[in-house]
Amino acid sequence: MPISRWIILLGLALVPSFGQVYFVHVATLALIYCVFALGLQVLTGYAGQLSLGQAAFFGVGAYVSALLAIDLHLPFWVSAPVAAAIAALLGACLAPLTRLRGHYLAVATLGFGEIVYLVLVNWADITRGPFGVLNIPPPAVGGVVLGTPHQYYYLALAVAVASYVLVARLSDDGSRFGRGLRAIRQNELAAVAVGVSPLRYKVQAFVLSAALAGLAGSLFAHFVGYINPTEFRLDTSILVLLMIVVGGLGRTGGAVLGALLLVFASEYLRFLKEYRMLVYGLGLIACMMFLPGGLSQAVTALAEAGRAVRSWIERYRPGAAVYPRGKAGI
Amino acid sequence: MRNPIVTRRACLGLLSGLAVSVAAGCAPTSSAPGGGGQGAASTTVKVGVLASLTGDGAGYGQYMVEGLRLKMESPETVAQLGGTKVELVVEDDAGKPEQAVSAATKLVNQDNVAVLVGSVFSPTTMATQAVTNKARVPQITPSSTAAAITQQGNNWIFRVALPDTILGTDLARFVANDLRLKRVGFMYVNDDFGKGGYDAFATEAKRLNVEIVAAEAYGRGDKDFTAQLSWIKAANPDVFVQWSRYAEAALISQQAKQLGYTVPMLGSDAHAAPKFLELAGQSAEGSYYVGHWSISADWSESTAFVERYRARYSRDPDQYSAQGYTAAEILVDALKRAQSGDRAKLRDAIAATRGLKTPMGTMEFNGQGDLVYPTFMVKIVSGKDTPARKA
Amino acid sequence: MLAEQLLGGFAIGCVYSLIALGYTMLIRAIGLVNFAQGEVMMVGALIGWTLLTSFPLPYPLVLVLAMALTALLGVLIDRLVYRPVQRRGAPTMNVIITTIGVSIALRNAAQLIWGSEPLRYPTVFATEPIAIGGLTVAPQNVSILLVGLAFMGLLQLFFQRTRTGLAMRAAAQDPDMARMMGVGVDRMVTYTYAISAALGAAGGVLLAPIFFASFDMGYIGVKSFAAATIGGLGNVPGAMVGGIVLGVVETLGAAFISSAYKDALGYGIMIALLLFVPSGLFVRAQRRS
Repeated sequence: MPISRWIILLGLALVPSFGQVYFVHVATLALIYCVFALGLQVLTGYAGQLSLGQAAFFGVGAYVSALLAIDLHLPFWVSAPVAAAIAALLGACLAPLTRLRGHYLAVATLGFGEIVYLVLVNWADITRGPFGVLNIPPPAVGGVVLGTPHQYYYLALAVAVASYVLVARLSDDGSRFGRGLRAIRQNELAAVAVGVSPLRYKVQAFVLSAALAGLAGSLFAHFVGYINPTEFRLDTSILVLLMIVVGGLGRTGGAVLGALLLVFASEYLRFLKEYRMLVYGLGLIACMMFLPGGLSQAVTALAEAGRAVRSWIERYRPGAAVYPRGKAGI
Repeated sequence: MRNPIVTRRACLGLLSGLAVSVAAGCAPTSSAPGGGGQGAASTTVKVGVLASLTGDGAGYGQYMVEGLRLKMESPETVAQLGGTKVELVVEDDAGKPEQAVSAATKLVNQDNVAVLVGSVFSPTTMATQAVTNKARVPQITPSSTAAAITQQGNNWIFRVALPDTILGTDLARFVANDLRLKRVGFMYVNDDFGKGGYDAFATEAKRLNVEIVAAEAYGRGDKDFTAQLSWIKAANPDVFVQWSRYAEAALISQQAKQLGYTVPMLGSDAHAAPKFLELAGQSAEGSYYVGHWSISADWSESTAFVERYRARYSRDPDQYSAQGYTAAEILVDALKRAQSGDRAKLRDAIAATRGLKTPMGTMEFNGQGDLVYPTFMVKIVSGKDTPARKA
Repeated sequence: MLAEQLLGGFAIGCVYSLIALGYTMLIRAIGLVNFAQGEVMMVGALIGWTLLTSFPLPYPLVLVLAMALTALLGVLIDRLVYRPVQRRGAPTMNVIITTIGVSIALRNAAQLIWGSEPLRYPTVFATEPIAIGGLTVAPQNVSILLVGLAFMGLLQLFFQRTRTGLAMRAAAQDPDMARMMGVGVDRMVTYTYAISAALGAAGGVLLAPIFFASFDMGYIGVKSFAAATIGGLGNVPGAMVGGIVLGVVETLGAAFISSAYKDALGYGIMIALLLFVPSGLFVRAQRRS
């Protein structure tokens, strides 16, 4: 693994020691959204399926985990995976929708998201309806309750890193799943022609993105301690979509970058007060205009520049053998 | 594929990083109380304010903060507090619980506020009270009406508005005892506010043998209510009650009249907003509402407050302004008595509020953080609030 | 009661249709899903309010002016934002995201300029209930219906009978061929933006006297998108019918099935239609026109 990733990991692990409570709180939230965004990256970035209903899985994951913890007194280690599994099941229910493409799929998933929201609001016997679920207990690790942001951070970090590794493995050409998704995204007909079944891969992508969203949802519920149906609507689906686009569509790191950026921006741009959301919208437009590959594009460009500088230095250090590489240089 | 050695190194790196930070990060977080008067000549007490300043609740948040500022920044208050200077730190929660929690975390930990005034909506207040409870910071919500807020066994939460249980119950009693009507058509917004009011009304109505012949819900932000209104009309009620925020309430009033409703129309405290009258126009004439406060209140604290509000902001206050102002009065009174910016002392001082005269009435907290004062029952006559009966 | 409901459904359906038309025109002309369409309507309504309250202008004139000004805004946004993004060959998703950014920016700019509270238009339509043969009919529903249908009729006329309208259809159908025939495709695209913005503004100015003008009225754009989909994205007559279908289904569903799940019914039908009739209900109609 390149040394840069090492450094990033170490840096992330050390955040709580240097960060104030508020900073760590925001960082934890950012990591939770990383998990959420990574899921959507698989679905939209790799498989090219635009979904505007991811908040439904996020919400279902949050509710299932919260209710299992409160009503059945199950520990987090049981309620979270169950939440992710149920969200995944819900994702599988969208299988019929995989026939749709482009705008139609977007609208259908949007409709699905709104329907799930309405169920959360109205099925009050189970979900407590519009009043939301209060006093969600934080998880406990061997007797230590993860009650402060400093403690919860590690849980979120562990889950985020694990999700990243999983999604990264599925993305590159080393994985059949990743290749299949890429094929479908680029040309569905051609994919069928070479024997890739779009239906199977799309459903799997939906299921995986739903599972990750559900897992993120359960982390969210136990972190914030209170959930309410209004947090799981179109706004949130759009937010996570923005994260992967701004971060860089199709690149694993893009989901992480986007999540970190958008969560931190929405908190640390508070000084803008009522102009904050306006700056947000304008910033998004500017990003699309000047940096369409998202932040990953900028990062890659920087890395490229770094590499170019390094080899340039290499060539001219004393004692180095200089091999002519043509007039163009590097 | 992945180099297994590299992956192992990654795990090792992560573990060592974790070990280092666990050691360092396990230190208890500091939470020095804001200000700190130990008889110092001049101290600054930071007051955190959390309100929905953006998003669709922005109007309420704005009014609330205006009311708060009117009291906090007035020359009399400054004089009353003597050496203690109050600094307001205002944060926006956009009406979203998650943002509210982040903002509250910031106010409590980074800005080190001594007390938090907020939030506007019930979900945001419910979410933030866990934060202030854990950090042992007193929190006063001016306007959240969900009953559950003061039922969590939390000593640090206080509320200015009346809970929806009281409002809904009073309205039901008014229908039964004053209007003497028996068949109610009810319409409410499908969120915590609407449902809370409906549940309270329905419970009391049942007790008083008032029948709810039709109950319809709608989503927040809906504009057309023909479906629900026709259905209710077909059930032939002799009174129509709605629990909506002012914009939808105005629309519903208008559309009901357009569909030929002639029965008395009643509403929630949202109808106290001057905007409701402006938007509903003629359709609100003769309608009733139950509220925490009305601009028609005739005692001196209220009329003085209305005058000063008009002078400073060039428009009439609504109940959110009154609630913000009253919260500020409680706070100032507590600060004077506590003589300190210490969080625990302030909490105790707030809880001990007695006989405080405010625009909303004479205030005293019950053991649970709620204030006890009578509701207003208002009838709108010739475009003005008039008392229908003081409950 | 059924007749009242139907009329109400038709009326709100007309509202959806007017905005859906804006979506549809843009999709047809440039394949762009403009998520900011709802916000364009909102800006039109607010501009109308400013005109009405600052100057002693009659309502019809305000309608026209608001349409013109909003059309200008639409063209500006196209030139300044959408074209540069598309020129760089950005994937469709990025373009959709840009429109989302525009919608966020417009919404918040409007909130900063016009404030957070709903704004009242002076009374334009009658308010007393109309009694027709034993039925009570809300006059606002009648007004929306009449004006909405009038606009849709005008639009159809424009596309079928005027040179510009035909040129726009040609440019949408096959830009290269149209160019070869001498149609200024670029200009047609500009016209499309202008007209779709003007339609949005018309919707806004028509709605505002009834539903109040406020910075968050754009949310209705989401449902109108569903309406446009029901009719078949890119299908202009389809958008009109799709809106009415959605309105009627919603209203009847709210009345007879469940008012709490009103939106769910609409979206559910939309999804069902999408699954079984993927290109909308009116494919044949499109081929004919």
